[in-house]
Amino acid sequence: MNKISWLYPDDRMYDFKNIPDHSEQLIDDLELSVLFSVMANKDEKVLEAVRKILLGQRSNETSVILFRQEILKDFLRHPLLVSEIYQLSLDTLEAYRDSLRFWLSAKSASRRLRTNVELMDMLLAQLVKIRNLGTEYSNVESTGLKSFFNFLQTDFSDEVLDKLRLQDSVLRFDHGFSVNAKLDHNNRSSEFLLNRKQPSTNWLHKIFSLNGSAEEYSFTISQRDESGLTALTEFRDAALEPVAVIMDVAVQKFLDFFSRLRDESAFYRAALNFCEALKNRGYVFCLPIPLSGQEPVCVASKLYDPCLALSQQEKLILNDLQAENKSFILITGANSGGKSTFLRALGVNQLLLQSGLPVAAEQFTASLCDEVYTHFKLEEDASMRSGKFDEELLRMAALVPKLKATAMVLFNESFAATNEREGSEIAWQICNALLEKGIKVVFVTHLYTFARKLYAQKSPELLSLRAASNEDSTQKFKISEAKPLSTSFAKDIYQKVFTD
Amino acid sequence: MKKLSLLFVDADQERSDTASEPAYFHDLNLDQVISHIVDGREEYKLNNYFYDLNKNLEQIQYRQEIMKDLENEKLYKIISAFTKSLADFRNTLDRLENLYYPLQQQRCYLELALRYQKNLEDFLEKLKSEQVISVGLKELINQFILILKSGKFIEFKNKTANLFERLKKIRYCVFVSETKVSVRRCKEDDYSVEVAKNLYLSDVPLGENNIVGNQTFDLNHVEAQILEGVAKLYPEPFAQLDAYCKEYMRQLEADGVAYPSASLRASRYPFMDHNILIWERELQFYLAYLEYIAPLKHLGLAFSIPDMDISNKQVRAEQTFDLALATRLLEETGQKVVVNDLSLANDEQILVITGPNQGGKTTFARTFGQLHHLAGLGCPVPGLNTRLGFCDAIYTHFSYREDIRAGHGKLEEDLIRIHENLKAATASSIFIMNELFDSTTYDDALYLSEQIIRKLLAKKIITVWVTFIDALTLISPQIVSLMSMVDTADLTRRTFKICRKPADGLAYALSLAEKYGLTYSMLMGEIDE
Repeated sequence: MNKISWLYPDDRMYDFKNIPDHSEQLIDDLELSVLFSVMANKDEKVLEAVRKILLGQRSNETSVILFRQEILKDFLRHPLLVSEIYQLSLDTLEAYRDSLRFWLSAKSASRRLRTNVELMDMLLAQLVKIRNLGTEYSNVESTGLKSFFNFLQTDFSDEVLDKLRLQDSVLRFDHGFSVNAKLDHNNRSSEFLLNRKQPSTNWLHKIFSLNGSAEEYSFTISQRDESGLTALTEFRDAALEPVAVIMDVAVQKFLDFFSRLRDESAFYRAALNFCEALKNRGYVFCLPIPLSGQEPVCVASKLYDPCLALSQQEKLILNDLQAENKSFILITGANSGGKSTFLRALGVNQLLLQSGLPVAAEQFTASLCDEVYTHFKLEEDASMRSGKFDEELLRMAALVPKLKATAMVLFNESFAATNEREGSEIAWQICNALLEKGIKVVFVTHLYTFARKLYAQKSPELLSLRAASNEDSTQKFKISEAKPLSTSFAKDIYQKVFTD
Repeated sequence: MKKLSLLFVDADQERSDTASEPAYFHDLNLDQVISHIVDGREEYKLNNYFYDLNKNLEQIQYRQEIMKDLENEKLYKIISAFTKSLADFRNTLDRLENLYYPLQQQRCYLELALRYQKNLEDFLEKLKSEQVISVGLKELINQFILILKSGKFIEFKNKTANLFERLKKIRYCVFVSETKVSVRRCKEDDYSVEVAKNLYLSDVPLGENNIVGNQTFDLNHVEAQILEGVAKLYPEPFAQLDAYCKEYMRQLEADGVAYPSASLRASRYPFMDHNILIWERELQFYLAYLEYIAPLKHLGLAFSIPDMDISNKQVRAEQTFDLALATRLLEETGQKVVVNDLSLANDEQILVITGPNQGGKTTFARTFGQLHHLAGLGCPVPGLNTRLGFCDAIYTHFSYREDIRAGHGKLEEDLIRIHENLKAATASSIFIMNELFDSTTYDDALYLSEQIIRKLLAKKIITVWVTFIDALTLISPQIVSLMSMVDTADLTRRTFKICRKPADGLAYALSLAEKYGLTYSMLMGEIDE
């Protein structure tokens, strides 16, 4: 039952604990915490879920992304459905935790078995509630939700449930139990197997009257024989251990099912919250189109950085981008001309796209990459100049072993913590290699020597963008295709500040 | 079957007397080394084997061959695993003796016998599959084959297997209601498979932890009564088991019999082979030493089996080191000890070592002594391409600064000892002198040293002499001058390298003084009028 998923169309195994170790860097550089908190809308479980999925369960397969988009469309139509399922999963897990309070210390098989049998009754009841939602919302269209309900209706039909409830009542062993055993290498009873016929009130009578002729040895432990009673308890625990293990696993499996359902429904709720928030602020959003081909493509209209959009009142400038067969996007231009914002917009939207979420643009079509890495200059740095430069190179060196041709790397004013010539040379060396490897790169830089040299190469994979200068306020934060310039318009800013 | 010993060419050569530590053990730190080696193997009582130098070359080579065989890591592991399993059997036997329920005890004996037989057979199979060159191990294999082929062993094996099969087949039903427990014969049945299937768990691995908690030997009350019930339901196999234990497991010896080591006590069980226990103990000599040097080897330090020669007095060892120091460094800091080359060629006979304090001089002298002792035991020694003369005795004369006996009394005692030792020594003996006569005047010390060196030269005794007296290096062309070295860049740093070099103690002292501003001219300039 733990194969059914709202994230993947196939039976694949995945683990929410798998989160790439550069994720913290991504969160910092792309300021994803703004995104997460808007999506969570103050619900901690949603926050946790969306973090895990956006950071660890992004996909580079169009089929997976479209699968998620379809489910999302269903939920956009039926927002109540996702809320109800999310709430039911939460309640179930909560009820389980409550039950834990009473048997925290109980590790013995017989006590575990008893608790688990009772838990199982509760879990089945909750499962039925979710199953029945499928009948209520029979008009869902996505493959994901259809097969989800279909699975519940088949594997947990009323017939199956009757059988499971009957089984639960047997496993309570209210009238004693019966096992068969062998002698182990110490002549201790072992290899316990549960007998099919278990004593019931009626049966208890029968065994003594009808089978009285069978050879049998019995003994009774006196109620006052404390060590004897302890020994009997030990024996009972050993004998029931195998079936107790089965119930442990079964309950765990159900719990896993519910906690996954909680996380995955939380993820879609997060998507709804995200759309809601953007709508409230008057921003456009869309379901992006993922491309599976080898050629690097990123075509967007009215693109913006959702993290910035959601954290400031001032309305953002929207940018268009036409990058087809361009693996290297070089961004130069004016200071505070929106270069970094644009870089972040590309990064965040790429993450959203590959998570199966809506993106911050009117239209967004992009090819998929295996992983997104960031290499940003340190904003604040107390250390010496050279130390900072060392640190940058160190970070780059740590990144290199992870890089594959299908990766995407975002550089923000990297390698500038030294003089222009050295920095340019190093940036040039590194980028030339990345370019040749076909790794997708977006590079924001002030290093003119580097930018010019790269531009002069006339590589067909290079797209050179420039942020407009501050002079023209209508063009502010507009990014457009242009060759690098030797100035970042600092002079402009200077003159603006030192007006006298 | 000729009696086989894996330590002595002639098995009767082994002396059962309790030898004591040689006088030089403490000076050479060999006491530390040996106690480290035998640590954890107390039940074999191995110390004595590490005390005595072998009296002839044949004996040394007999052991060297076995050591060489055991350098094959696979063979080493096979033998080591075998002796560990024997030790394990002994522990188990001790525990079984105290079991309370006879029905359980008997079954445990049976299981142990089964494992014991399988162990011997496995061991022989594995041993045969390895290439063995030494006379000792070859004969060990032969004798093992004979033991395992003997009628006695085969009968023991058959009886064990037969009983085992009969007991294994027993299955019974236990019914528990409230405090009443019933046992009866029954067939196998398993409802839990159905439970798992209903819960869609058929493909899920459920773990093998069916035996939980009570892992000790001791049966509890209820288990024991169930067992009695089972024995009544199936009387024949249990009667057979009883007879079996009377034959093989009843202990023979009366208390108070002295065994040379605790490990040999196990031979009081009729099924245990006495010879195997003896060989096991002897093999421990090899295993203990090899295990001790293994971490050092792993660290990159070299060991080799020395080329021994009676006729030629050549001494050579490359990259050799003090075993005790190497172990201490490894354990305390994980660092590798500094290695040195050592050689005496042609007529060279005495190594005189001078140089700065704490520079590794004493360590070097100890190394020299250790090499000869370990080689005399038949062990691989620290260093590469080692070549040593046969050595019949080692004499050490160490002066410890912290010695409280001062002045005349001590000097006299030293001289008396040297005199005695010189009388006892032969041309195959070695002397190690460490900073002798440090409590006399320079002239006296020089005089005494020279006298003794002349005697050593005359008796052709190979000697290492650590001293501050540079002049000793010039007494004879048969003397080699060695110096402990310092870093040329930082003169206060010791490299612990000992090199052939004319003694020039002064140069170092001057530069050290310069570093601290204590030379004449510097002091002159520095001190105000």
